[in-house]
Amino acid sequence: MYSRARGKKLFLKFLFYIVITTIVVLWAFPILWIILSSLKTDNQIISQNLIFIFKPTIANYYKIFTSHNFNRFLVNSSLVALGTTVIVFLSAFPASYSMSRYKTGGDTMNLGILVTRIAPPAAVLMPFFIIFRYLSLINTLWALILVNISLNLSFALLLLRSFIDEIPVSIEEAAEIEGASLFQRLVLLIFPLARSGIITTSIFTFIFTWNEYLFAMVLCSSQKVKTLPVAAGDFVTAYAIEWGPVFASGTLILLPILVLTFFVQKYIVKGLTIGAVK
Amino acid sequence: MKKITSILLLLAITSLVFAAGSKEATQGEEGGKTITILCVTSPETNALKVLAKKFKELNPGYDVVFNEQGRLGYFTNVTTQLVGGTDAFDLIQDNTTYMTELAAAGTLEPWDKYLNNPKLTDLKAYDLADLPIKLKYKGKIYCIPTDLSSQVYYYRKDIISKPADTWDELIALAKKNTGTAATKYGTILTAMTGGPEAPKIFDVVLWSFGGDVIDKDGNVVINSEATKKASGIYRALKPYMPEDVTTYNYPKVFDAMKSGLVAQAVPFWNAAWNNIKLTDSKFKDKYGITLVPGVRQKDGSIRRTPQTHGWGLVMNAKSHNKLAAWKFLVYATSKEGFEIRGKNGGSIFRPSILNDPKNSNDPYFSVMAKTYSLAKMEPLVPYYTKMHEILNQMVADILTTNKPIEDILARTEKDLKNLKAKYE
Repeated sequence: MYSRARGKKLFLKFLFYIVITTIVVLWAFPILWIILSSLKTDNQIISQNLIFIFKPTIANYYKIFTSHNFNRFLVNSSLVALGTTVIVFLSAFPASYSMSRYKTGGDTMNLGILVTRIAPPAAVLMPFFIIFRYLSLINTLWALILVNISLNLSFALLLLRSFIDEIPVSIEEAAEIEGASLFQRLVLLIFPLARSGIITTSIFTFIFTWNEYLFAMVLCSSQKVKTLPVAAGDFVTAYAIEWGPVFASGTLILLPILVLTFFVQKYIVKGLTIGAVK
Repeated sequence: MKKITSILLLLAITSLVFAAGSKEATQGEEGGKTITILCVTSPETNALKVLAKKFKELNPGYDVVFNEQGRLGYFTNVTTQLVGGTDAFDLIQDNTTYMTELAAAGTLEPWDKYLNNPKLTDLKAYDLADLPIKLKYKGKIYCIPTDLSSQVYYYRKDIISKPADTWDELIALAKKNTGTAATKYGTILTAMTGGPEAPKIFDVVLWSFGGDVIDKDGNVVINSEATKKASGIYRALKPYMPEDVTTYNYPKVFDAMKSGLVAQAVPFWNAAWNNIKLTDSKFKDKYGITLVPGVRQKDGSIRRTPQTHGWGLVMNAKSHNKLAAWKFLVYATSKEGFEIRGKNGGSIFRPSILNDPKNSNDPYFSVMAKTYSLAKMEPLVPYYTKMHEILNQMVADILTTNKPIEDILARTEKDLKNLKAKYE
């Protein structure tokens, strides 16, 4: 009787892992496919047969770095993503604290923040272009940083606010009694306590900015300020798709995010589940 | 430690400010010698780059900067740049089919005053008569294409000994070569909806039956017997093409050719002839090229009606370097310019070069000379893009539904008439 129950339990566990493994493989397959294809020749990529065993080549990587200046694009993408993330954090952290503790702006503010996310990016493309043209910011990385700040700030504000809401006010009150100023409370108390929220927000801001395509394509068309996603799109030429370089540049775009996500995944999970269980 | 971290952070932010603020070399003033071009990644652009090298050798002090971008979103970018009033580019590479809208918006510089100024253009050497296509809007020239696209017929020489002359013969060949050991699909055409390709390819079939979308007087004439026949050809070819044929654009059809998936690609773009030679496909030398099929007439002749459009450089009305830009434009479209580009991946359409006996060993030249002589352009109307949206829907309905053709055409006619009325 005991062994039968145990057998059933083991079977269910086995089944559970099979299902989980299948889901993980299905989800990871496109990423694996991109990475594998980046090491194939053009003919192997477009072959009608799925090729898993092959002699890897770095020719696609060699091409994107030697003939397409990907070093520069990598630096540009990093500058834009880091710049946006730093500025979004510096703006969103005090603002979300203010909204959480002092209810700044009330419910209208929340609605106002949400409204900035409603318009599809393509609809605001032309207004942004005209504004930046007047400011002589076309073909500068600042244009992209400013656009990405406006695209990500609302999300960062709302997410950070929910983290700060979770921190008991009594801790702050105790610190205040001890003589801590507002700035000290913010930096020495709230900042460490909201660390997982700050990391989550920063990671998402970084990822969204790193992958942004539409504005980068239009506002920064010149070679000197091109970012990685736009540069990867260059291989989708007027008549053909250069699959090898597309996959190599895709891998290059993916890898930093994958590595970053691997190291901070616990914060991301926490960020996504905050408020789910009270 | 904290101090060092703070200093490093400060340094990082400062360097970010300077790096992010760095801007592409500023444009010269009126008469500057740096020409900046926004262009799409393509063999034609590679050919233009070779030409630019020669141009710089011939004109010391001049520079040509190419800002290349992939096909994805390229036209969105071109329109946004021009309508947004950019001065970051002097010349912009564009498809001729979109130029009327951009010219109507006042974003393009007409060529006439440069062309007719003897100090700027040696008209005799330029030989305007040898350039059959000139893009005009309200009587002014806005572009002479650098490259001309049209449709030809590609077939696998190793399995098809005699290519089809008519659409009915094409259907028979497609049937015969579907699901064989050599090829999976009997034929393929570009039917991807959402872009300009599907309506253009449909035109090739439609025109051969004597039909049209809009006649020369501007009337909507899509709902005709000719369109019914053309639609019938599409439906007859459907079983011999990939099921998801409405997702096939140029790159996808080209990949199908490269991988030997299809026995024929027709009507398909002439650029594929040179492009496939540049690949390492094992099928690259197995394709033959000939004229698109058509409809046999009572006198026995075949009415073949390829469509044509071009790629060309347009001058930005806000450019600060118009004279330098013009110098490059004239060189790019001169006979010498065509020959240099033609040898390096560009498509030649000057009849004097196509018919030159020295090129007779390559079938491409004679096929293209004949194709260009037969080809015509779509009507250049200000509602061109919206017209294509409606035609795309029509092609999708023909290929993916079982709706009666009459119903599809009646709705298409109604939509086109409504669209046209908005612009009257």
